[in-house]
Amino acid sequence: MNLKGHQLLFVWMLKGASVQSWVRWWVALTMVAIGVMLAVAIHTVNHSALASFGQALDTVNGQASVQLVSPSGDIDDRQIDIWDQRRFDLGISAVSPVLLVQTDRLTVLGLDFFKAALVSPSLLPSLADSSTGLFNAKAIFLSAAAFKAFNVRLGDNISLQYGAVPVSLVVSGEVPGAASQVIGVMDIGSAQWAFNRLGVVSRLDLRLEEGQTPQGLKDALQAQSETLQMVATQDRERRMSLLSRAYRVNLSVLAMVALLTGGFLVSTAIHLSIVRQRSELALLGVLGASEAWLRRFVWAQGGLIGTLGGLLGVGMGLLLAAVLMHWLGGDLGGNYFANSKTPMVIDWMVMALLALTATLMGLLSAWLPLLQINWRQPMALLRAGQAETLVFRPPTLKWSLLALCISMVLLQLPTLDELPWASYGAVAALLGSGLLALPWVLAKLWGKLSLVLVHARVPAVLRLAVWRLAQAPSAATPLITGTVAAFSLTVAMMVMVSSFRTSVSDWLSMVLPADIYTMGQSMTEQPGFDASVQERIASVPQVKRVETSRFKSLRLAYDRPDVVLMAKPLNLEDPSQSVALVGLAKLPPKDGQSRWVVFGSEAMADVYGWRAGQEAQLPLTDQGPQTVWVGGLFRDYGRQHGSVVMSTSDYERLSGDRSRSGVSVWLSRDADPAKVMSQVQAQAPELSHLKWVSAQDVRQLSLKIFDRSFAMTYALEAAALFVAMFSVAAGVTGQLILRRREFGVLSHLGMSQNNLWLLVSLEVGLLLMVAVVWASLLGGLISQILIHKVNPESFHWTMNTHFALEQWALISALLLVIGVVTARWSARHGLDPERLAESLRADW
Amino acid sequence: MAVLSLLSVGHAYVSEEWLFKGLDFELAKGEHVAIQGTSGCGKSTLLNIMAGLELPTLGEVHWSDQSTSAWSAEQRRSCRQSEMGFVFQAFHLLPHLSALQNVMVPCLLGGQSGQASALAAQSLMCDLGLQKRLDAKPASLSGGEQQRVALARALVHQPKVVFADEPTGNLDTSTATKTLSLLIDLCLERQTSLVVVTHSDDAAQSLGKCLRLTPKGLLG
Repeated sequence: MNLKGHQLLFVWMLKGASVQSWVRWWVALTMVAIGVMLAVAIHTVNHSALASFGQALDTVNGQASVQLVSPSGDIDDRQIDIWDQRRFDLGISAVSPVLLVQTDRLTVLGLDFFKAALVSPSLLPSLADSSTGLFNAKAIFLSAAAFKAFNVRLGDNISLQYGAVPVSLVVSGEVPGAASQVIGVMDIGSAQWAFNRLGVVSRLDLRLEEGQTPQGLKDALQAQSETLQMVATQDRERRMSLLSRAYRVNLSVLAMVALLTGGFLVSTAIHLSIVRQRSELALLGVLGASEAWLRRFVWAQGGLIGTLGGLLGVGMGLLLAAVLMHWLGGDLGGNYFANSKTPMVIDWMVMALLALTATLMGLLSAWLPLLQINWRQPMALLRAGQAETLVFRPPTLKWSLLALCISMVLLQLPTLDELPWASYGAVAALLGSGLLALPWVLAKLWGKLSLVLVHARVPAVLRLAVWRLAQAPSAATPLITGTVAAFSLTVAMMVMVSSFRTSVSDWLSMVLPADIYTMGQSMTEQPGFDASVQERIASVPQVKRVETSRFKSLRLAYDRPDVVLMAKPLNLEDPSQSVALVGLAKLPPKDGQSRWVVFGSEAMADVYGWRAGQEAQLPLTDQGPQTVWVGGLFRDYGRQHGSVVMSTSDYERLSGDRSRSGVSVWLSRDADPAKVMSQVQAQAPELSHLKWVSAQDVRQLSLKIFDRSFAMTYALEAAALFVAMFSVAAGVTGQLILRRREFGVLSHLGMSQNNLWLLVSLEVGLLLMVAVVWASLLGGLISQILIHKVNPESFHWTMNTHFALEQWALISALLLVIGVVTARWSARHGLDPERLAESLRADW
Repeated sequence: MAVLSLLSVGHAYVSEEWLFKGLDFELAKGEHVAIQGTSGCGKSTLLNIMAGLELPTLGEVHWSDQSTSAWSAEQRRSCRQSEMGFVFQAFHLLPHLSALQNVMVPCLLGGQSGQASALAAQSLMCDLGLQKRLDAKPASLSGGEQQRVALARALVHQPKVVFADEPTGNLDTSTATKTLSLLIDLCLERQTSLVVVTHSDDAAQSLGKCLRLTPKGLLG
């Protein structure tokens, strides 16, 4: 390559800088790479999971662009004829009923094959294989993936379990249009019969006339206040995306925090590079290098670190995504997509954007140190003893107050598209405010301390350390800015996670009062069992009390995930005994009117506007919504998208459904749970498909899932601590370079080598103590935003603050000890007598 | 025609506390001048003013009979890059570049190609007896060698004037004498003007003209 002279010099200088500071470059580059890696991994895993989940949904939905569903779940199959007759008025060319049955290991679709051929032909079985058996009552047609998953051939029997009902079917052919998803297709009448779902269907798939649009149909249906809801493709996509969106955004923001802290490291590394390069840059300035050339050289260092870190991060992130998908599944431990084994789908556009973000972060990191250099006076830079002008000028408190005001304003703003962007902004502004106030805090603190020490009898080294800190607070600021930023984020995350965990633990104690419970694969999608089982279980020796409950999915909005209705015995005299109430219960006035009392989770208030003491609509049957009285709001960490509790008797009267889906059993004090469980199973064989677990097991499993879903947060805490450590090491090294002459003078005046190291260690120790206190205050405030704003806005649940004092003391002590040891180590290596002597020579 | 002239120049870092005032000076083409003075009298500041690195508080600096008062920072930089060479007491070589690369720097900054710069640098380094040290890094060179590399760097782009501030301050007497002779010889050979700030009387004597800086100006 034929480079021009100044370009050649540019390349030489850049190469030289990378060789000279390779350790710092690598650490900074690695931190940027870690930030990008986390963002890439989180995005790729979620993108893959959603793509896979979306593909599965598309398969199950066939090619139907529009569907009709019932908010209460099932649709009476008499609706098929009604809608068939209304086709011409509404611009619908065909109506195809579908019964969706979620068995223990296979999703079965019951179809009217003639109508499905017009609406969703991709779900039709291959006729060549099975024209004779298409309507056979036992015939099921499997996708290629299902053939593989069950290792069956044509003519084999396949046994499925639907609730307590075992169903045996004959594999009669293939569904070629749904090769990659594990599904089975049956004749709808046979499916209703086989799975005891007579008289109901799950949805009506529609094909529209040419000229009719989904929006046109929606408008027409809204005008007629239908009991069925219309769902278009984009509604399905939004519903699916909402399932895990807040969790994904939260993780992505955490990845951005890692990228930001990585940016701090790049800034520190560039700052140190400039400190080291100051003579070289000044010399080049004297020799005639233009200011633009010198700036470009500094920019290039930040840009190069950012770009290389970004590219490395993309590679590492894809690798991490593969590992995470293998070990944690497609939902990163969030438990949104159960048992999802998903192929990796890479979104190259986002990869490029993240790599570009890293480059921009690198450039931004170079911009800050550049502000400190006066290129117009290269000779001043070249002279020894002028290095202090390189450090950050102390910003006044007004910028800190401005950032604080911005944070306060942002805290008042609502969510944007249901995501807490303003609250995230408030966290960033508050962090910025704390960092900008740091020089002012240090100046005030050390100023007071040096006054106190005037008449105190303290060792000379301590006095020197405090004098120095008091007289040059601006020089100390860069030393601990990175540490304060990283440590405050660590404290914030630690308090948030510990508060959340403690609240979940308390909630579990509240919602698990019984000794043993039933657990099903999906309690809302399985058929219920008869309520009479309660009496039989109660007759088992050592069973003190039995409660049964009914879980049911309700679709309150066509584009939102389902809400879970829980019907269980409720103590309306004291509702706090039955649900984890937030605030007070507001029961209906005793005015002689009969009202149905329900309790809604916090999500019902946030998403559907429910308020305690007000009426709301609840679609319990396909006859239209019922008016209910919201008696209060409760905390539900298990169901992010909303849940409703009502008494079993009210539910039965309103819905006519007398089945149950869960059992809770209280045992007498000396009972053996395992023995009672086996006796219960013998007494109620129809519950054999359910698993019996102790309250302790549920609790442990829940906390295990919690810890798994916060594994990424713990990893980020560790990364932030690493940043803090590196900031100290890098900061001390920078200070040693800047202050070599000062140490040289002290050495010449008779200060021993040991005392020099002690001086450095003392200064760092004192600074770190302030950093720990300041960062803890800042982190504590940030945690309150996370707890009281970000979490409720993201997940619709609140929590009580719990400060993990022991954990905080441990990491604070760790930071102080490692920081001081690092400082002493840096001092030992940076303050050897030969270098100190050299530093006193005049340069010019 | 004077290459450089100072007209009634004065400089004060603090208001009314003049380092020097009313200073006139002319440097002819090929002329060699030594400037001496007590510590803190402003020798280095004067050198910076001559080189356009600092602006005088009073008076004017002319470069090739052109006033530089109205020059932009970019014009000053450009003039410094093409028409001036610098030698420092602490050598100031770029540590991660080889000796040859260090010498090439002014040519590269002037826009010359890598090949042309290398040829010019090699030739000059051979004249200075550094032909075997072309690829050596500054850390592996002796003090004398480092200063010779610095001399080569100051002269390689054929400047009109070389400014040297205590160029022998970090060298032993014998090496200092040799290095200064080399600098003078090279400047004579190229008709390059030379301004040397020095404390050493011997060094000052070896230059054609010796001036003493006082608050009232340069005295002969």
